[in-house]
Amino acid sequence: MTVSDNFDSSQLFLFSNIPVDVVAEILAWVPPRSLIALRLVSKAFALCILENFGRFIPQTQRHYKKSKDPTEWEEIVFMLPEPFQSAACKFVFENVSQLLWRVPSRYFDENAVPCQFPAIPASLGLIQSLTVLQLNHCGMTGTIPLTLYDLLQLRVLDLESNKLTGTLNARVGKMTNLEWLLISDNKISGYIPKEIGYCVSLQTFKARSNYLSGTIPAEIGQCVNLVRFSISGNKIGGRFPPQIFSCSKLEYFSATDNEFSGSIPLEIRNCNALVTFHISRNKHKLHLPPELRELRIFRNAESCCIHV
Amino acid sequence: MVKITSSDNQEFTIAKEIANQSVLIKNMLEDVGEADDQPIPLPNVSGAILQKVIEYATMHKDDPPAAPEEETRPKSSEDIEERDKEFMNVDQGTLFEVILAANYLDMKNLLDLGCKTVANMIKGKSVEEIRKTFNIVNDFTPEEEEQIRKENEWCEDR
Repeated sequence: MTVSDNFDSSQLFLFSNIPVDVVAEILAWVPPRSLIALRLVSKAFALCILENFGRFIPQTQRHYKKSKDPTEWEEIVFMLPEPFQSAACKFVFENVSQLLWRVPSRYFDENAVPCQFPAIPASLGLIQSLTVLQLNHCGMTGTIPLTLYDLLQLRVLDLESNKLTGTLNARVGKMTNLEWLLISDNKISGYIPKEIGYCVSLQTFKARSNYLSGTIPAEIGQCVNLVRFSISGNKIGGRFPPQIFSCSKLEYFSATDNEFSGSIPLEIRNCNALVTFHISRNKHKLHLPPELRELRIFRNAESCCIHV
Repeated sequence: MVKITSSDNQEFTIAKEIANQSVLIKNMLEDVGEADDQPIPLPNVSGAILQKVIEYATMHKDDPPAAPEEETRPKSSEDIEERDKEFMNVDQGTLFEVILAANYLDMKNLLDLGCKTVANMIKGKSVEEIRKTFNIVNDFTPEEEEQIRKENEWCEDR
């Protein structure tokens, strides 16, 4: 953050020309709530706080430490009004690569910070250094903010077991480093976007127990690293796209409790790693072609939940 | 001994270990060497304030060197020695001038002390009290003030 040329810090206090560096030294001792309240003192204060906000956050409060106790600033940053929230977010979480939140009752991970937000704060998308974002079991409502899809370094996005609504946006396709995309146990609706095919690093896609509809996009076949794919308990239908079985590393495929129909594609023979294939309780009868009956996973069709 | 002169040409002669508490003076002394006994001009500091700064440096001349700060331990502005509190019990004009002098002379402990003192005058006060304390005129229109108050509502609920 830079000091604007027209900012005159001598307007702050009547006594002297205090350089903004010294103002920063003073205000770094003032707790966040009092600091924001200073905006009301005068126009000069409002301007000073606005233009230099990041500098007033003490160094000791900045770096997110792997500790149970978040600093005062970490606790408060997502409650700040904009544009302070964005400014503070960049400073407090500078170079932070992992962020883990949980509700206090699910406080089993010593690195997790208790979550106190009703929804996912959009300014999380400003922490460009994030590689792991785990906000599971946080009781959060609202939608997945579009800004989250800007976290292009992200390898793990875990939003499981919240009350999130809305859709999985097509922008997810920008996240080419994403390995784990976990959105199970929410209220997410709409289609799985075909852009998911651009997530070339994707290994695990779990969207169990949501309100997803439409079909499995054929583009999923471009996710050559896909190992685990679970969409049980949705309203997804149509036929299984043969392309998903070109993911040769696929080990786990679960699509129970959906609306699929048609036959199981012969391409499933390419999936040598496949050990789990769950497709029971679909609305329509699924057909297992005779050519596939000899496959290890179908040797006991009853037990692997297929209506032959 | 080291000679220094203020902006209003008052000359002070002080012990070297006192002078060295100012990183600015210390660096100057190292640059000119021992032989030079010319007074060091400090054009940004008045005699009265320099007197005050020397008083502080004399009071703290026997302090042990600061231990490396533990980054995990949050520092508090309440953490001030009693004698320093007494030292900073001055009018506001002097307080800010001491802060500016400490900044110019590069005396971290004194700068911290001054900044903590001002911060403590701000902390826990209402906006009106702060305006009164620092003699600041409210230049917002009632509408502007209302708007900011609304945005700030969340900080008043604690």
